[in-house]
Amino acid sequence: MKRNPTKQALFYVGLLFISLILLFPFLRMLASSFKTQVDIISWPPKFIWKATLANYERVFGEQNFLQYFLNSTIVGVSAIVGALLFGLPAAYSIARFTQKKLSVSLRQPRYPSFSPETTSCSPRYSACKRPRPCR
Amino acid sequence: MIRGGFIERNLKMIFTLPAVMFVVVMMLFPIVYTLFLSFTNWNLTSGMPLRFVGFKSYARVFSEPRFLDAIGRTFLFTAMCIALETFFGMAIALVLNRAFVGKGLIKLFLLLPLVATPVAVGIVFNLFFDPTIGLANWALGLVGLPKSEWVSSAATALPSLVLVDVWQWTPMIALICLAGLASLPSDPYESARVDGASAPQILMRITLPMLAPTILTAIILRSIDALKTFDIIFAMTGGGPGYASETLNILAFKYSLDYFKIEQASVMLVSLFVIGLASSLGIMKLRGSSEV
Repeated sequence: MKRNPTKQALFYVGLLFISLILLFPFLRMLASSFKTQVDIISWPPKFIWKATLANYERVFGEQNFLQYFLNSTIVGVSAIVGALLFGLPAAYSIARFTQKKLSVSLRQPRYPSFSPETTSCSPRYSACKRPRPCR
Repeated sequence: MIRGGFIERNLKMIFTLPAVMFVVVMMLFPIVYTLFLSFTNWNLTSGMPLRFVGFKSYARVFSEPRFLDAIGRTFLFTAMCIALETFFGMAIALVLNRAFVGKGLIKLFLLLPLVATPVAVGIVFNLFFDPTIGLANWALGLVGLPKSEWVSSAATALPSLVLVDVWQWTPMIALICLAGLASLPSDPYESARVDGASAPQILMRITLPMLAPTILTAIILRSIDALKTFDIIFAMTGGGPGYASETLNILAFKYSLDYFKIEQASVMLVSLFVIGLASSLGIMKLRGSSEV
Protein backbone atom coordinates (compact mmCIF):
# COMPACT_ATOMS: atom_id res chain seq x y z
CA MET A 1 0.00 0.00 0.00
CA LYS A 2 1.56 3.26 -1.17
CA ARG A 3 1.11 6.28 1.05
CA ASN A 4 0.30 9.76 -0.10
CA PRO A 5 3.48 11.91 0.37
CA THR A 6 1.51 14.83 1.84
CA LYS A 7 -0.06 12.54 4.42
CA GLN A 8 3.34 11.05 5.16
CA ALA A 9 4.81 14.53 5.74
CA LEU A 10 1.89 15.45 8.00
CA PHE A 11 2.43 12.28 10.00
CA TYR A 12 6.06 13.16 10.65
CA VAL A 13 5.16 16.75 11.58
CA GLY A 14 2.74 15.25 14.10
CA LEU A 15 5.49 12.99 15.45
CA LEU A 16 7.81 15.99 15.80
CA PHE A 17 5.08 17.86 17.69
CA ILE A 18 4.48 14.94 20.09
CA SER A 19 8.22 14.54 20.67
CA LEU A 20 8.69 18.25 21.33
CA ILE A 21 5.93 18.29 23.95
CA LEU A 22 7.35 15.18 25.59
CA LEU A 23 10.92 16.45 25.57
CA PHE A 24 10.72 20.18 26.28
CA PRO A 25 11.14 20.00 30.10
CA PHE A 26 14.24 17.87 29.60
CA LEU A 27 15.58 20.21 26.91
CA ARG A 28 14.89 23.13 29.21
CA MET A 29 16.83 21.43 32.02
CA LEU A 30 19.69 20.63 29.66
CA ALA A 31 19.77 24.16 28.25
CA SER A 32 19.65 25.76 31.71
CA SER A 33 22.58 23.64 32.83
CA PHE A 34 24.77 25.41 30.23
CA LYS A 35 23.42 28.90 31.01
CA THR A 36 24.48 31.49 33.51
CA GLN A 37 21.94 32.59 36.14
CA VAL A 38 21.32 35.80 34.17
CA ASP A 39 20.62 33.89 30.96
CA ILE A 40 18.22 31.49 32.70
CA ILE A 41 15.93 34.25 33.96
CA SER A 42 16.33 36.58 30.98
CA TRP A 43 13.22 37.91 29.25
CA PRO A 44 12.47 37.19 26.45
CA PRO A 45 13.90 33.66 26.80
CA LYS A 46 17.24 33.18 25.07
CA PHE A 47 17.50 30.38 22.53
CA ILE A 48 21.04 31.31 21.50
CA TRP A 49 23.53 32.02 24.24
CA LYS A 50 27.18 31.66 25.14
CA ALA A 51 27.46 28.20 26.68
CA THR A 52 29.16 27.92 30.05
CA LEU A 53 30.43 24.93 32.00
CA ALA A 54 30.54 26.88 35.27
CA ASN A 55 27.48 25.07 36.68
CA TYR A 56 29.04 21.67 36.06
CA GLU A 57 32.30 22.79 37.61
CA ARG A 58 30.46 24.03 40.66
CA VAL A 59 28.30 20.93 41.14
CA PHE A 60 31.06 18.37 40.60
CA GLY A 61 33.86 20.45 42.09
CA GLU A 62 32.60 22.49 45.00
CA GLN A 63 29.55 20.55 46.12
CA ASN A 64 29.64 17.00 47.29
CA PHE A 65 27.53 15.80 44.37
CA LEU A 66 29.10 12.36 44.07
CA GLN A 67 28.17 11.63 47.69
CA TYR A 68 24.47 12.26 46.91
CA PHE A 69 24.80 10.15 43.79
CA LEU A 70 26.27 7.35 45.88
CA ASN A 71 23.46 7.68 48.44
CA SER A 72 20.81 7.31 45.71
CA THR A 73 22.62 4.31 44.29
CA ILE A 74 22.78 2.62 47.69
CA VAL A 75 19.05 3.19 48.25
CA GLY A 76 18.15 2.02 44.75
CA VAL A 77 20.29 -1.11 44.74
CA SER A 78 19.28 -2.25 48.22
CA ALA A 79 15.60 -1.67 47.40
CA ILE A 80 15.89 -3.87 44.33
CA VAL A 81 17.80 -6.57 46.21
CA GLY A 82 15.20 -6.49 48.99
CA ALA A 83 12.31 -6.66 46.53
CA LEU A 84 13.89 -9.63 44.75
CA LEU A 85 14.59 -11.36 48.05
CA PHE A 86 10.93 -11.11 49.07
CA GLY A 87 9.38 -11.39 45.63
CA LEU A 88 11.31 -14.13 43.82
CA PRO A 89 10.56 -17.03 46.21
CA ALA A 90 6.90 -16.06 46.24
CA ALA A 91 6.81 -15.85 42.44
CA TYR A 92 8.47 -19.25 42.18
CA SER A 93 6.04 -20.72 44.65
CA ILE A 94 3.02 -19.31 42.84
CA ALA A 95 4.27 -20.57 39.50
CA ARG A 96 5.37 -23.99 40.81
CA PHE A 97 2.45 -24.86 43.08
CA THR A 98 -1.18 -23.96 42.70
CA GLN A 99 -2.31 -21.75 45.53
CA LYS A 100 -5.49 -20.26 44.32
CA LYS A 101 -6.41 -17.84 47.06
CA LEU A 102 -2.90 -16.73 47.86
CA SER A 103 -1.87 -16.20 44.28
CA VAL A 104 -4.94 -14.06 43.62
CA SER A 105 -4.17 -11.85 46.59
CA LEU A 106 -0.50 -11.56 45.70
CA ARG A 107 -1.16 -10.92 42.04
CA GLN A 108 -3.24 -7.87 42.92
CA PRO A 109 -0.45 -5.68 44.22
CA ARG A 110 -2.55 -2.64 43.33
CA TYR A 111 -5.01 -3.24 46.16
CA PRO A 112 -2.80 -1.97 48.98
CA SER A 113 -1.89 0.98 46.79
CA PHE A 114 -5.41 2.35 47.22
CA SER A 115 -3.97 3.78 50.38
CA PRO A 116 -1.86 6.86 49.77
CA GLU A 117 1.77 6.86 50.87
CA THR A 118 0.90 9.38 53.55
CA THR A 119 -1.08 6.64 55.29
CA SER A 120 2.12 5.00 56.43
CA CYS A 121 3.46 8.28 57.86
CA SER A 122 1.77 8.03 61.23
CA PRO A 123 2.36 4.30 61.77
CA ARG A 124 6.05 4.65 60.89
CA TYR A 125 6.33 7.74 63.02
CA SER A 126 4.80 5.99 66.00
CA ALA A 127 6.94 2.91 65.39
CA CYS A 128 9.98 5.12 65.85
CA LYS A 129 8.60 7.25 68.66
CA ARG A 130 5.82 6.07 70.94
CA PRO A 131 3.30 8.66 72.03
CA ARG A 132 4.25 9.73 75.56
CA PRO A 133 1.45 11.03 77.65
CA CYS A 134 2.72 14.01 79.64
CA ARG A 135 0.44 14.79 82.50
CA MET B 1 16.68 -35.91 57.46
CA ILE B 2 13.42 -34.95 59.16
CA ARG B 3 14.26 -31.29 58.94
CA GLY B 4 14.98 -31.45 55.22
CA GLY B 5 11.76 -33.35 54.76
CA PHE B 6 9.81 -30.71 56.63
CA ILE B 7 11.23 -27.91 54.47
CA GLU B 8 10.70 -29.98 51.34
CA ARG B 9 7.05 -30.64 52.21
CA ASN B 10 6.23 -27.07 53.16
CA LEU B 11 8.30 -25.39 50.47
CA LYS B 12 5.38 -23.48 49.02
CA MET B 13 4.48 -21.98 52.40
CA ILE B 14 8.06 -21.12 53.27
CA PHE B 15 8.68 -19.45 49.93
CA THR B 16 5.55 -17.32 50.05
CA LEU B 17 5.90 -16.42 53.72
CA PRO B 18 8.35 -13.51 53.25
CA ALA B 19 6.16 -11.85 50.63
CA VAL B 20 3.01 -12.33 52.70
CA MET B 21 4.77 -10.99 55.78
CA PHE B 22 5.94 -8.01 53.78
CA VAL B 23 2.45 -7.22 52.50
CA VAL B 24 1.02 -7.55 56.00
CA VAL B 25 3.67 -5.45 57.77
CA MET B 26 4.33 -2.77 55.18
CA MET B 27 0.94 -2.42 53.47
CA LEU B 28 -1.86 -3.89 55.53
CA PHE B 29 -0.61 -2.73 58.91
CA PRO B 30 -0.44 1.01 58.06
CA ILE B 31 -4.01 0.92 56.75
CA VAL B 32 -5.35 -0.86 59.83
CA TYR B 33 -3.32 1.36 62.13
CA THR B 34 -4.60 4.50 60.41
CA LEU B 35 -8.13 3.19 60.86
CA PHE B 36 -7.34 2.64 64.55
CA LEU B 37 -5.87 6.15 64.92
CA SER B 38 -8.94 7.73 63.34
CA PHE B 39 -10.98 6.62 66.38
CA THR B 40 -8.53 8.05 68.90
CA ASN B 41 -7.62 11.54 70.04
CA TRP B 42 -3.92 11.29 69.14
CA ASN B 43 -2.90 14.91 68.74
CA LEU B 44 0.82 15.53 69.15
CA THR B 45 0.39 19.13 70.31
CA SER B 46 -2.28 18.53 72.97
CA GLY B 47 -0.20 16.22 75.19
CA MET B 48 -3.33 14.29 76.13
CA PRO B 49 -2.95 10.53 76.68
CA LEU B 50 -4.09 8.33 73.84
CA ARG B 51 -7.66 7.13 74.23
CA PHE B 52 -10.65 6.12 72.14
CA VAL B 53 -13.10 8.87 71.31
CA GLY B 54 -15.28 6.98 68.84
CA PHE B 55 -16.53 9.03 65.92
CA LYS B 56 -15.59 12.40 67.41
CA SER B 57 -12.79 13.06 64.92
CA TYR B 58 -15.06 11.97 62.07
CA ALA B 59 -17.74 14.45 63.12
CA ARG B 60 -15.15 17.18 63.39
CA VAL B 61 -13.51 16.52 60.02
CA PHE B 62 -16.75 16.04 58.10
CA SER B 63 -18.01 19.43 59.27
CA GLU B 64 -14.77 21.13 58.25
CA PRO B 65 -15.28 23.21 55.05
CA ARG B 66 -11.61 22.89 54.13
CA PHE B 67 -11.97 19.09 54.06
CA LEU B 68 -15.14 19.17 51.99
CA ASP B 69 -13.51 21.58 49.52
CA ALA B 70 -10.52 19.26 49.28
CA ILE B 71 -12.77 16.31 48.42
CA GLY B 72 -14.39 18.28 45.61
CA ARG B 73 -11.00 19.43 44.38
CA THR B 74 -9.64 15.88 44.43
CA PHE B 75 -12.52 14.67 42.28
CA LEU B 76 -12.22 17.65 39.93
CA PHE B 77 -8.48 17.13 39.55
CA THR B 78 -8.92 13.41 38.91
CA ALA B 79 -11.76 13.89 36.44
CA MET B 80 -9.86 16.51 34.41
CA CYS B 81 -6.68 14.43 34.41
CA ILE B 82 -8.39 11.19 33.39
CA ALA B 83 -10.47 12.81 30.64
CA LEU B 84 -7.52 14.60 29.03
CA GLU B 85 -5.06 11.75 29.50
CA THR B 86 -7.38 9.11 28.08
CA PHE B 87 -8.23 11.29 25.07
CA PHE B 88 -4.66 12.29 24.24
CA GLY B 89 -3.20 8.91 25.16
CA MET B 90 -5.69 7.16 22.87
CA ALA B 91 -5.01 9.69 20.08
CA ILE B 92 -1.25 9.22 20.35
CA ALA B 93 -1.64 5.44 20.36
CA LEU B 94 -3.81 5.54 17.21
CA VAL B 95 -1.30 7.80 15.44
CA LEU B 96 1.66 5.61 16.38
CA ASN B 97 -0.07 2.30 15.61
CA ARG B 98 1.74 1.63 12.33
CA ALA B 99 5.23 0.74 11.20
CA PHE B 100 7.48 3.73 10.59
CA VAL B 101 11.10 4.76 10.82
CA GLY B 102 12.01 5.83 14.36
CA LYS B 103 9.14 4.12 16.20
CA GLY B 104 11.54 2.85 18.84
CA LEU B 105 12.82 6.37 19.43
CA ILE B 106 9.30 7.77 19.89
CA LYS B 107 8.50 4.96 22.34
CA LEU B 108 11.64 5.92 24.26
CA PHE B 109 10.48 9.55 24.34
CA LEU B 110 7.11 8.34 25.68
CA LEU B 111 8.88 6.57 28.51
CA LEU B 112 10.90 9.60 29.59
CA PRO B 113 8.12 11.51 31.44
CA LEU B 114 7.20 8.29 33.29
CA VAL B 115 10.69 7.85 34.70
CA ALA B 116 11.33 11.54 35.41
CA THR B 117 11.59 12.51 39.08
CA PRO B 118 8.30 14.21 40.02
CA VAL B 119 10.03 16.85 42.13
CA ALA B 120 12.39 17.75 39.26
CA VAL B 121 9.39 17.89 36.92
CA GLY B 122 7.67 20.19 39.39
CA ILE B 123 10.66 22.53 39.56
CA VAL B 124 11.01 22.72 35.76
CA PHE B 125 7.31 23.39 35.32
CA ASN B 126 7.40 26.05 38.04
CA LEU B 127 10.09 27.84 36.04
CA PHE B 128 8.05 27.30 32.92
CA PHE B 129 4.86 28.67 34.55
CA ASP B 130 6.56 31.69 36.14
CA PRO B 131 4.30 34.70 35.43
CA THR B 132 7.15 37.12 34.60
CA ILE B 133 9.99 35.06 33.14
CA GLY B 134 8.27 31.79 32.26
CA LEU B 135 8.37 30.18 28.86
CA ALA B 136 4.63 29.44 29.05
CA ASN B 137 3.68 33.12 29.02
CA TRP B 138 6.24 33.76 26.29
CA ALA B 139 4.58 31.06 24.17
CA LEU B 140 1.14 32.54 24.89
CA GLY B 141 2.48 35.94 23.78
CA LEU B 142 3.77 34.44 20.53
CA VAL B 143 0.30 33.35 19.47
CA GLY B 144 -1.24 36.57 20.76
CA LEU B 145 -3.03 35.24 23.85
CA PRO B 146 -3.10 37.20 27.11
CA LYS B 147 -0.67 36.19 29.85
CA SER B 148 -1.82 33.77 32.52
CA GLU B 149 -0.80 33.58 36.17
CA TRP B 150 -0.61 29.75 36.07
CA VAL B 151 0.12 28.33 39.52
CA SER B 152 0.42 31.76 41.14
CA SER B 153 -3.29 32.50 41.06
CA ALA B 154 -6.05 30.63 42.84
CA ALA B 155 -8.21 30.42 39.71
CA THR B 156 -5.62 28.79 37.46
CA ALA B 157 -3.55 26.78 39.96
CA LEU B 158 -5.51 23.51 39.73
CA PRO B 159 -5.84 23.50 35.90
CA SER B 160 -2.10 24.21 35.63
CA LEU B 161 -1.36 21.24 37.87
CA VAL B 162 -3.66 19.13 35.69
CA LEU B 163 -1.53 20.15 32.69
CA VAL B 164 1.61 18.90 34.43
CA ASP B 165 -0.08 15.64 35.39
CA VAL B 166 -1.32 15.24 31.82
CA TRP B 167 2.19 15.81 30.53
CA GLN B 168 3.61 13.20 32.85
CA TRP B 169 0.99 10.46 32.62
CA THR B 170 -0.55 10.65 29.12
CA PRO B 171 2.39 8.54 27.83
CA MET B 172 1.41 5.72 30.20
CA ILE B 173 -2.10 5.54 28.73
CA ALA B 174 -0.60 5.83 25.24
CA LEU B 175 1.79 2.93 25.85
CA ILE B 176 -0.92 0.72 27.36
CA CYS B 177 -3.27 1.47 24.43
CA LEU B 178 -0.45 0.90 21.94
CA ALA B 179 0.18 -2.53 23.44
CA GLY B 180 -3.56 -3.21 23.30
CA LEU B 181 -3.81 -2.13 19.67
CA ALA B 182 -0.89 -4.36 18.71
CA SER B 183 -2.65 -7.40 20.17
CA LEU B 184 -5.95 -6.88 18.30
CA PRO B 185 -6.81 -9.52 15.67
CA SER B 186 -6.65 -8.36 12.04
CA ASP B 187 -9.61 -10.35 10.61
CA PRO B 188 -12.37 -7.85 11.60
CA TYR B 189 -10.44 -5.10 9.84
CA GLU B 190 -10.09 -7.10 6.65
CA SER B 191 -13.78 -7.95 6.49
CA ALA B 192 -14.72 -4.35 7.31
CA ARG B 193 -12.57 -3.13 4.44
CA VAL B 194 -14.14 -5.70 2.13
CA ASP B 195 -17.58 -4.44 3.17
CA GLY B 196 -16.48 -0.88 2.36
CA ALA B 197 -16.39 0.60 5.86
CA SER B 198 -14.87 4.08 6.11
CA ALA B 199 -11.94 4.89 8.40
CA PRO B 200 -14.10 6.65 11.06
CA GLN B 201 -16.53 3.71 11.00
CA ILE B 202 -13.68 1.27 11.52
CA LEU B 203 -12.42 3.38 14.43
CA MET B 204 -15.80 3.76 16.15
CA ARG B 205 -17.27 0.32 15.46
CA ILE B 206 -14.25 -1.95 15.60
CA THR B 207 -11.15 -0.46 17.18
CA LEU B 208 -12.70 1.31 20.16
CA PRO B 209 -15.08 -1.51 21.23
CA MET B 210 -12.31 -4.09 20.94
CA LEU B 211 -9.92 -1.87 22.86
CA ALA B 212 -12.44 -0.95 25.59
CA PRO B 213 -11.13 -3.44 28.21
CA THR B 214 -7.59 -2.13 27.76
CA ILE B 215 -8.72 1.49 28.04
CA LEU B 216 -10.73 0.67 31.17
CA THR B 217 -7.73 -0.98 32.80
CA ALA B 218 -5.62 2.08 32.01
CA ILE B 219 -8.33 4.36 33.42
CA ILE B 220 -8.57 2.35 36.64
CA LEU B 221 -4.80 2.40 37.16
CA ARG B 222 -4.64 6.13 36.43
CA SER B 223 -7.65 7.05 38.61
CA ILE B 224 -6.17 5.36 41.66
CA ASP B 225 -2.93 7.26 41.17
CA ALA B 226 -4.60 10.56 40.26
CA LEU B 227 -6.84 10.46 43.35
CA LYS B 228 -3.77 10.33 45.56
CA THR B 229 -1.48 12.61 43.55
CA PHE B 230 0.95 14.10 45.98
CA ASP B 231 4.45 14.82 44.68
CA ILE B 232 3.68 17.18 41.79
CA ILE B 233 1.25 19.28 43.81
CA PHE B 234 3.52 19.34 46.84
CA ALA B 235 6.57 20.32 44.79
CA MET B 236 4.81 22.99 42.75
CA THR B 237 2.29 24.76 44.98
CA GLY B 238 2.24 22.93 48.31
CA GLY B 239 -1.56 23.19 48.10
CA GLY B 240 -1.54 26.94 47.55
CA PRO B 241 -2.11 29.72 46.79
CA GLY B 242 -4.30 29.74 49.87
CA TYR B 243 -6.04 26.36 49.72
CA ALA B 244 -6.62 26.62 45.96
CA SER B 245 -4.86 23.41 44.95
CA GLU B 246 -5.18 21.46 48.17
CA THR B 247 -6.30 17.90 47.44
CA LEU B 248 -7.20 15.31 50.04
CA ASN B 249 -3.75 13.78 50.18
CA ILE B 250 -2.00 17.15 50.57
CA LEU B 251 -4.49 18.19 53.25
CA ALA B 252 -3.95 14.95 55.17
CA PHE B 253 -0.20 15.41 54.98
CA LYS B 254 -0.48 18.96 56.31
CA TYR B 255 -2.76 17.86 59.13
CA SER B 256 -0.46 15.05 60.21
CA LEU B 257 3.03 16.48 59.82
CA ASP B 258 2.48 20.27 59.81
CA TYR B 259 -0.31 20.62 62.40
CA PHE B 260 0.27 17.24 64.16
CA LYS B 261 -3.46 16.54 64.27
CA ILE B 262 -2.88 12.86 63.58
CA GLU B 263 -6.43 11.85 64.55
CA GLN B 264 -8.02 14.15 61.98
CA ALA B 265 -5.42 13.32 59.33
CA SER B 266 -6.27 9.63 59.85
CA VAL B 267 -9.94 10.32 59.25
CA MET B 268 -9.04 12.06 55.97
CA LEU B 269 -6.80 9.19 54.87
CA VAL B 270 -9.47 6.63 55.68
CA SER B 271 -11.91 8.68 53.57
CA LEU B 272 -9.42 8.87 50.71
CA PHE B 273 -8.88 5.11 50.92
CA VAL B 274 -12.62 4.45 50.83
CA ILE B 275 -13.06 6.87 47.90
CA GLY B 276 -10.27 5.19 45.95
CA LEU B 277 -11.58 1.70 46.63
CA ALA B 278 -15.18 2.67 45.84
CA SER B 279 -14.35 4.39 42.57
CA SER B 280 -12.25 1.56 41.23
CA LEU B 281 -14.79 -1.05 42.30
CA GLY B 282 -17.41 1.10 40.58
CA ILE B 283 -15.43 1.24 37.35
CA MET B 284 -14.77 -2.50 37.48
CA LYS B 285 -18.46 -3.18 38.06
CA LEU B 286 -19.21 -0.99 35.05
CA ARG B 287 -16.83 -3.10 32.99
CA GLY B 288 -18.44 -6.30 34.22
CA SER B 289 -21.99 -5.18 33.45
CA SER B 290 -21.25 -3.88 29.95
CA GLU B 291 -19.64 -7.24 29.06
CA VAL B 292 -16.67 -5.78 27.23
